[in-house]
Amino acid sequence: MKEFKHVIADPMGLHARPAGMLVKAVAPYASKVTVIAPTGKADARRLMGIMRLAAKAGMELTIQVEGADEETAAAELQAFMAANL
Amino acid sequence: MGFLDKLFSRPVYSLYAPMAGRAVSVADVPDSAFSGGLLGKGIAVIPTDGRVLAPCDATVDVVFTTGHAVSLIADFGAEILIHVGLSVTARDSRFFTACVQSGQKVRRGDLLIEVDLPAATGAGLDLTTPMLVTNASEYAQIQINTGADVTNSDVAVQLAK
Repeated sequence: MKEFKHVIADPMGLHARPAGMLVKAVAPYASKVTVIAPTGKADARRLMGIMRLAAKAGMELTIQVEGADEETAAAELQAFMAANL
Repeated sequence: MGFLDKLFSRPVYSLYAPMAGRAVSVADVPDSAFSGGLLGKGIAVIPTDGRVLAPCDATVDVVFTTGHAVSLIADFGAEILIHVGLSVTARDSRFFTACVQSGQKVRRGDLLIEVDLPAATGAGLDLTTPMLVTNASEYAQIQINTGADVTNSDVAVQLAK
């Protein structure tokens, strides 16, 4: 399993649009991707689950990536989140 | 009901328009997060009234802290996102009053959010309001009714498994 951390930079937090972008970004990978926030944890493929975290700006997320393509997926998702969330 | 229940013997579920106004295809919304289908399938309403009403009997799932969006779990299982306005930012939250809390049971027509429509429009916000089924992939058929003036008495989306 690969794991990385990300602090939410978007002033509105992980609201609908970024949550949707994250779900889309995760879709191509085979690995299971779990987002862990202080408010709970969610499967990154489930839009409602991500929104339910109600993750706010400045909150630190831990992202766990587990599966056949975890190396690539973790690296690319980390770059995606740094650029977009 | 529509053509769907003639076509299938399986149940057809209805979502009523969440706001009064003009119903348009979400594909025509000038925001790729919605029009691209990223968040789900559904309609958008260009509102003429600031009250956001429950589209079906449901349980409130998430109320966004800014008050401009709410997600619901329909009693029949659909996951629904109602997102008032397109490029709403944190400082626009003064225009929105959430009237429900997470976990609350609502009936169709119950008030979810109140929007100060004149003030928000005056501040330049586009209040086009997408209503999306975020677990659309669980439904074999989704029929959307657009192009008309609607109220909460009009069916906007029909779903069949």
